[in-house]
Amino acid sequence: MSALELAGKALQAAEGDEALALVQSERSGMARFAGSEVHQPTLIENETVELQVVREGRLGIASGNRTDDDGLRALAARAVEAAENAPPDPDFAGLAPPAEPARVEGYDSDAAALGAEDQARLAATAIDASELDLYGFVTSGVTGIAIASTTGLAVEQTMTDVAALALAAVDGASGYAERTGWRLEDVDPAAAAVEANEKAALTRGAVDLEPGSYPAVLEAPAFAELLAYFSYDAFGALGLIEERSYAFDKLGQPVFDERFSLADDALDPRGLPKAFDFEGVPRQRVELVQEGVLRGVLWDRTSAKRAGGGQQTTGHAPPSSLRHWGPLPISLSVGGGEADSPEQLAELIGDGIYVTRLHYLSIVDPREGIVTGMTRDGTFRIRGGKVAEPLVNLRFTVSVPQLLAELPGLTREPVLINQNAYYDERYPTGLLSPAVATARFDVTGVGSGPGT
Amino acid sequence: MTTVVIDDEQMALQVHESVGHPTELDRVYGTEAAYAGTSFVKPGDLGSLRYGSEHMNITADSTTPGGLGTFGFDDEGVPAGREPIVREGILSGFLTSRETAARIGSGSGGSMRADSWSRMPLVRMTNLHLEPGEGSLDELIAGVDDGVFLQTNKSWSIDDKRLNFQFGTQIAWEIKDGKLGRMLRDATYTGQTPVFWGSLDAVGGRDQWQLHGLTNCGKGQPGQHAHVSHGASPARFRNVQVGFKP
Repeated sequence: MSALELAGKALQAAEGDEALALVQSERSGMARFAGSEVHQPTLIENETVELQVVREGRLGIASGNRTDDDGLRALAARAVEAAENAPPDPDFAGLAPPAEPARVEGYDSDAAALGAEDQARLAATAIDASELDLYGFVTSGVTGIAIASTTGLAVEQTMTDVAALALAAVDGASGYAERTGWRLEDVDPAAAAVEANEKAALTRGAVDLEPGSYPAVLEAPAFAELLAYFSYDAFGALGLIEERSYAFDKLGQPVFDERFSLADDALDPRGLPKAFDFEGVPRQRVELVQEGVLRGVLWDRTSAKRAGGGQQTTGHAPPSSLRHWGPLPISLSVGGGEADSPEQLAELIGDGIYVTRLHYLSIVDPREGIVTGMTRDGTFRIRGGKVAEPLVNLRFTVSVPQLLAELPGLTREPVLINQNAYYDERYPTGLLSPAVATARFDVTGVGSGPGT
Repeated sequence: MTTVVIDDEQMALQVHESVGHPTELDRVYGTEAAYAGTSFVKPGDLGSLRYGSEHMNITADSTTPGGLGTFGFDDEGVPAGREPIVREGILSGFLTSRETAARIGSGSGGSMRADSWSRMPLVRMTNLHLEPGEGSLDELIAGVDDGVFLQTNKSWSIDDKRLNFQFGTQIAWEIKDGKLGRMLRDATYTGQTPVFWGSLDAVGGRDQWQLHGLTNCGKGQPGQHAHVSHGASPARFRNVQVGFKP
């Protein structure tokens, strides 16, 4: 039975009610390793059904993975009970009407064919390529999502994803690299391991740095993570409506360097394509920033209704478990620049710091876009336009708008950075990001050194 | 640098991030390096590491009534129990699995938890408490000539070895001559874990002690959410770096 057929069967179990059924299926494997040894290998084969029942403006949601007739009847009963006990939601926009999403790429038969032994073999290629102890994983999955509703909505997509993460580390040295794609051919775990080893070799003997404001080069993984955190609050419509996001009162204004353009584009085959959101609405490309001008934010049906004024959804509804966040970016895409490599960006800034990866970010002030976090696994001084001595991990507390206000350069080709930590149901997401040079990166303290 | 009094709610997260995670023995052995990170604590530190001042007593207790980390037995079948982690400032235990406990020849496991049928059990916090000291919140504040009172978490971040942390709070108050003064905007405080805990000079009493729950503790690949609890009283620390908007 296909995911869409199962969604239809779940709807039948809720007969007599206005309802929506969301089915997510997953067949995945994660060959995780630590210290170059197998560690917590996980295989998952699962199918979950979420049933949303609407009664007099009250929404009840129940989910489970019993897909037989009795299981679906019990699921419907729970959803009805939840709806009857829920308060009316004045922002609920009703279930989405039928729609025809764009055809997207994102499925690779070679990736879909990978089994546990293949994932283990790929992990072994990374471990074999590593001189240092290697930590990380190789994972691949086939994910299905289908939505059917009593409004006549019926949409379905099957996608693949493959990712390799490599942390080469020993006491006093560590380096990081990753590869992500929906095609198997785009992910070379051994190449990631080699890159991580090369980076780690440069990190021995790390020294402290005086806190202060420095020009910096952020490699794509570092910039992607910083931008993702900023964007959760800055580019979702709920934050705009509630006047707590950076975008509030700035739409249409030139607020960033004109070299910076940002879109959310789930249709881009360079990313991890998605045809529709969790309301079943076709996803749209949304220009968030064009040449430094803040152009728009992301909407779902609920936030669009709340805003009024004819506002329409852009197809960015989150899963119900994240509904309190409002619409979310899941396919951010940064426009490339003119530099050939991060090393060329170092030449542009001359003197500053070089950051590979970030750790444990937190939003200090959403209105001002202030984010704190740590660097890790490859932080260096830049001197004379060259990557110089290694640094310990740095505490940074940056105003992202200030960081984006002056970007001396970006690399030409954005790379896909994995954004999925594989919590809950698998829904592969990534961010297309170049490396960037910024005139201002605020270091506020020092932490531990590189390595284990 | 100033003296801070931190309320019990923020202390719960302080315990979680700067004591709970670094004493998870799987992290200490490096097996979570790729994602959550490792620890500044080493296996050989047991019984000798000066983690904090003599006022610091931390207990792991999976029997706490009402705790989100309370159970009859963990996911390896080890019965719930109560174990000291820090006693009078000295590292006295780790959070362990049966496998990691055997590696150090100490402890009996009891901290292995998975968040669903489809995830591997990991070494996890259960209920990890800062044991109470003596006195009231007012008495803690009365012992401060010039400082800041910090309440309720807003932002949180700590490095991959759990050494450098920065927390922001929802609200803060100036303390002058033992009394609360004006409200401070967007206060943050930062420190290095053992230095910070070494500056602990008082913990509030039993009647100030509250149990707080955290439901979003992330760890592992694939990721897992753990539900844990932390009991704490307000506490006072000297020489802490604090920032706030003028």
